[in-house]
Amino acid sequence: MGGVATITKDLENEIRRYLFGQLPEADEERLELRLLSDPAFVEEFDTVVDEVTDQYVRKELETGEQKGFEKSYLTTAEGQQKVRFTSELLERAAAERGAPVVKPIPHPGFFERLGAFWQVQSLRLAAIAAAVTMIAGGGYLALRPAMNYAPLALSISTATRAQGSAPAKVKLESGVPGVEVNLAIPEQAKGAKDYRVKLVSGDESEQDLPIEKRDDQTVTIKIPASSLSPGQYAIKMFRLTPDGSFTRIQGSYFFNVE
Amino acid sequence: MQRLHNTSFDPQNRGTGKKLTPPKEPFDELLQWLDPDREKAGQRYEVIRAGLIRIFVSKGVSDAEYYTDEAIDRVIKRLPEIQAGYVGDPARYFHGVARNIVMEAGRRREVPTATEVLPQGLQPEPPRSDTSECLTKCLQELPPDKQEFILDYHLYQGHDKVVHHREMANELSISEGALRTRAHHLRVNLEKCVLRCIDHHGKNKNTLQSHSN
Repeated sequence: MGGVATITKDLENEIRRYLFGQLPEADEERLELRLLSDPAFVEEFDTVVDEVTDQYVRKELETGEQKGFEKSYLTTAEGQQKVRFTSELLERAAAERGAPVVKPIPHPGFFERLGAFWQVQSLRLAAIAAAVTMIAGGGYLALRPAMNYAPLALSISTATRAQGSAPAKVKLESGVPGVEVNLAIPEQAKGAKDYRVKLVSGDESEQDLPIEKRDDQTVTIKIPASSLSPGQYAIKMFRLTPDGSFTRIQGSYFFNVE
Repeated sequence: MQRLHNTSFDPQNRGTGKKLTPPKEPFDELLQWLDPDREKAGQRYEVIRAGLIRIFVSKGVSDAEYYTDEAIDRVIKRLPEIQAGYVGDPARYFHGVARNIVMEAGRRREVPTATEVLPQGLQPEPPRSDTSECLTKCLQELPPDKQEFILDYHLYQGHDKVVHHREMANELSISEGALRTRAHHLRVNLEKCVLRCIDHHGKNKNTLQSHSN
């Protein structure tokens, strides 16, 4: 078990090349002998197989790697079963954590069919979500009373900052005490007994923020102007699980301060 | 054909991985050859078996458990001739036998692969809905924190995944390697549960069909 924890990049690469049929014969023999004699290595091997299968399903492998994997490992019933399981698992993880995925597109080829249902279209939906958020945020800004907290309404996004479209913007005018942010609780995280919120600044520093109020749909926080300077911010939300610990809700609420 | 390390060879048992009580002599001799300490020999046998399965699957030989049994049988049969004079790690001999089987399979190519003709004894590919239903069921059987963990772990891809795993490891105060091990063990158990469930589904469907016929 410790073997998996200490697996080196070289070893991992060697196993990967073996799975793609790219390892010279002598190295292949050495690796196979180790498979027959070292239980920790067997576990390391399985971990790499999981990793490669994930990448295959997500179409992250290079063409040569993909072809090699299909030619050998994936011609077996065992390999195909693993791909089916992995596809379901990854799809489920995305669906339950808010990242939208497209269902499989019917296609004559087995592997094409499997690959197709990992066509994640998070960028498109993230753009729509961001646009809605910006309109909502803009509406609040236009109607806000003077010298009150600047209001901002945000939805969670599982896209990274780089992937997603422009995040909501807020301008802090002189005399404004800060920003009041309404965070829409994602569907899968509703109903928790408690939530926690952290503000992450552009320099990756994190700050816990007290929750002002919450209802079934939203959590509201106030960020004092003193904590905000122009730049990019992300908010992480955590929910209380039945075992009493807080678990991160996947994704972040992004916004920029101008 | 008699499986020397099984009570009897039953084609229906091909690839099921069922561990049957072996008859004494040939299998005991194999264990003795692997290590005079019976417990250590048993452990070595399990490692060899696990390794053979992985070699066969990696080389595109379908029904790897069946061919693993075949490899072990061949070694057992040759044991009386080689035992006395053999020098070196027995794993090397198993490796040679496994290579021969892979080559034979390659020559047949023809090696009944899952994408061509299903090997006798293998069930046809289960419908996707079975895998999906079974995954739901098996996830529900996990404690909530483990459910959260396994889904969180598999959320991102590429560089985001690396960053996300680092964050998860920090939050859990464990190393990234330990995180990976934890995820692997959970995933192995989840996959086993899904396979059992699919198998159970298949049997139920067959029973229903035979009742309706």
